[in-house]
Amino acid sequence: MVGFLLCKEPTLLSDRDKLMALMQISEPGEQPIQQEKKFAIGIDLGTTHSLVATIKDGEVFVMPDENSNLLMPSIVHYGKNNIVVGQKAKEALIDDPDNTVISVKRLMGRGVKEIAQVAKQIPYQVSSHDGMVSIRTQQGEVSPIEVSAEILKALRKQAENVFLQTVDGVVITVPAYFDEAQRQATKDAAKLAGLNVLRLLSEPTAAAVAYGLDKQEKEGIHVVYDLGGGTFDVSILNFTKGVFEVLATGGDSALGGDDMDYVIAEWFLNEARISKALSASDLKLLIQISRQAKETLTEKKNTGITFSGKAANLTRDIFNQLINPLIKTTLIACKKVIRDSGIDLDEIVDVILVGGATRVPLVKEQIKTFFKKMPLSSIDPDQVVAIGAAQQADVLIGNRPGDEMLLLDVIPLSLGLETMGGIVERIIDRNTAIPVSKGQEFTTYQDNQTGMVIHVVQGERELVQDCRSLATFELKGIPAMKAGVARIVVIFQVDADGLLSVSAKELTTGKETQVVIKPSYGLTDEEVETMLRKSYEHAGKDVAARALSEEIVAGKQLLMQLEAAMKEDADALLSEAEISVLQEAMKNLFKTIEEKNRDAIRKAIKALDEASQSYAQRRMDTSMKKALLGKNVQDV
Amino acid sequence: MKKAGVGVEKVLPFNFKLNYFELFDLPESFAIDLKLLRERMRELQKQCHPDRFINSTPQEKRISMQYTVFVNEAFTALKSPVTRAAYLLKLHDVDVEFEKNTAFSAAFLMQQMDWRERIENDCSDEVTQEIESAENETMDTLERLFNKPDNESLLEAKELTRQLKFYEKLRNDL
Repeated sequence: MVGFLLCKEPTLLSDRDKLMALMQISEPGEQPIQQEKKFAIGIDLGTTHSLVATIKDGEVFVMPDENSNLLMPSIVHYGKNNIVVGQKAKEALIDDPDNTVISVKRLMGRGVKEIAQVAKQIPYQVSSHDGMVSIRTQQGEVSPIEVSAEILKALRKQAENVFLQTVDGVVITVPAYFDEAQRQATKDAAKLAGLNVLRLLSEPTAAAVAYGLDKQEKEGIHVVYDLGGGTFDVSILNFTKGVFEVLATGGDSALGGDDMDYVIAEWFLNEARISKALSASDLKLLIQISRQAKETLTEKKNTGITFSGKAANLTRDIFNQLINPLIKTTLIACKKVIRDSGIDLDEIVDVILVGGATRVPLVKEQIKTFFKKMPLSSIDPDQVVAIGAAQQADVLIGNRPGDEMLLLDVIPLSLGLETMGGIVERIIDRNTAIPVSKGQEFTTYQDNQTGMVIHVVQGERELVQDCRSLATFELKGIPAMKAGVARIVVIFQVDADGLLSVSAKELTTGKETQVVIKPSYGLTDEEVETMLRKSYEHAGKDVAARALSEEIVAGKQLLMQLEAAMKEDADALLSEAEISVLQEAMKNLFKTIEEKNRDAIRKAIKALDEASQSYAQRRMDTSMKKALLGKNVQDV
Repeated sequence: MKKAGVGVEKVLPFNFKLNYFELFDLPESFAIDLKLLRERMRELQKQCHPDRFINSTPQEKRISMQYTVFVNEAFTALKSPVTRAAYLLKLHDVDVEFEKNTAFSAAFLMQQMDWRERIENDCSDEVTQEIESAENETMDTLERLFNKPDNESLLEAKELTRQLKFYEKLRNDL
């Protein structure tokens, strides 16, 4: 698809003049206007560290903070009157650990009961209401989504400070093994941070992109072994002709380098004979010390640990013994994913290492033994994910027209419905290519039944109680009929971000039923709106003004997109009558934007959307045909 | 715009009325060139995937999503022997009825029981090989049957497809 042509904004012309100028279809033979590059960034939102990167003039830039650090600690400190993120928050960890949140990624999309199973030690004070975790700070209770939003805001600021440009779009990475609830939480955090998310990208796929686009890398089957701070992913990808296709993915979204720190901490408590339970703040401190010990042991054969007046000496041998079970767990996941992908071990071209924890010597050794290959880490394992994300952001925002790079991902865990007796009926299998859509038919069991509740879960087990509850979907407005007569088709759609949406229709009447979503461990749309409102009010911004400006931006965007499209092929695809109908609707939208009437703008956007439906269809058909037959629009 | 691979030239302007084989310009048969299937899927995705429409109008984004879902659905169905056979049956108006607990032949059931017993007695490797060769035999027969799909052949194909699914499940459980 040829990239859209955008006008460079002349600063002296009024808005109206600019748009009116665009309204004239260009003469054949006229030079197309140079496309201005947009500022797109890639964010690696990690458990322990986060990074932000971009592509400028074909080169990768990982953007540093004011102290030239590339890695920003994923730590947020809630002071009495302020919020601090990153290195400064890490310093606050020593003085005020109770109000300093670390590893919030482990809490995203999770309930309190799950946290207890997931992390052996929880160095926070958590509370729950309706199942979702929240963290107690001196500024009140905060949701993990709000904490993550603070990190994202800080990263965006970091990027904007370096290039003095506003961010137009971002690709945020998530563990491939993140389930729907965890992904949705990440997207909600981005929304709170005011970011335009181009795509949620799987971390292993991002790493594959970074290596693949390095031109040194051969085509074929690649394995990405990604051991991050709190999550483990292993993905098998096929890379050929610019297309990265995930064949299968596996892992553990509650296993990571952090766990190595925990086992060291536990070992120390044992060695030093400290049997009394530690406070949350002392625990946080001991974990930091343990982490340092782990890192030292990468180079040295032993290291001393001092805490609470006691000391112990940790050798590399003991450390290896402590972490061996953890690594074995990752190799079991590797076996499973190889089986799922259907490939043979000897088909693998390369094994790519991602995540700081892969620096641990025993990890590298065991990977080499298992895959019978020397794993690659030529691109810094801490930066590789952000780099890949930046590459994709650059392509998606349109800075590389004609670039054929494409990422085809899969859903990591099966989706199912709860049926009689608490059994899971599977609708979508794990490792199915996304986007994907499946329909399921239901009927009513009572006369005049107008509603229905569907419980969606994610996981591989047979019983609902052993899977993750994602959400309940309430269907309302089923036309009243005798029991068993209604035919309700429910469509489950998973988009390219791995997010689920549900729609329902009653077939005999053709009536769409209303679907009300109640996420099990997430926020409803209303709750996100409330949080957004809270944050605007906190920042002193006028809520109504913000809502209006959002509509205006949406309206202007639609106008510009249509303008660009019509400039290309309105003459070839539309009759004069059709063109004038469209232009009428566009003029109407433009008028409502000028009048700054929010409701009118929304109505006008909807009207223009509908009016351009068949034009859009024709464009798609033509461009597909054109691409497939290698011809020009004019020749069709 | 790059010219697509040779076979894809023959594909009509993309539409939902195509069956899965037509979509990928592959012959309607049980035997399939998996490499070619994958190549054609990639070529189609390069044109229709939502990532190509990030800056497009909401209408175009919706259509792109629908096209891509269709391509994925078709690819997933044709990629594996069981779903491919089930789809071929569907094209001939035969419902494979996986969910129905229609009885299998006694011989088939005996074989299953024998295998499961031997798996419990630690003969997994041997059994895996036997299952694989039974699968290959079944697939060869299916190929023959679908090449001459009269009523009798289709009924037999239905039975064999259901058996093939059994073998697949057994191998996955191992």
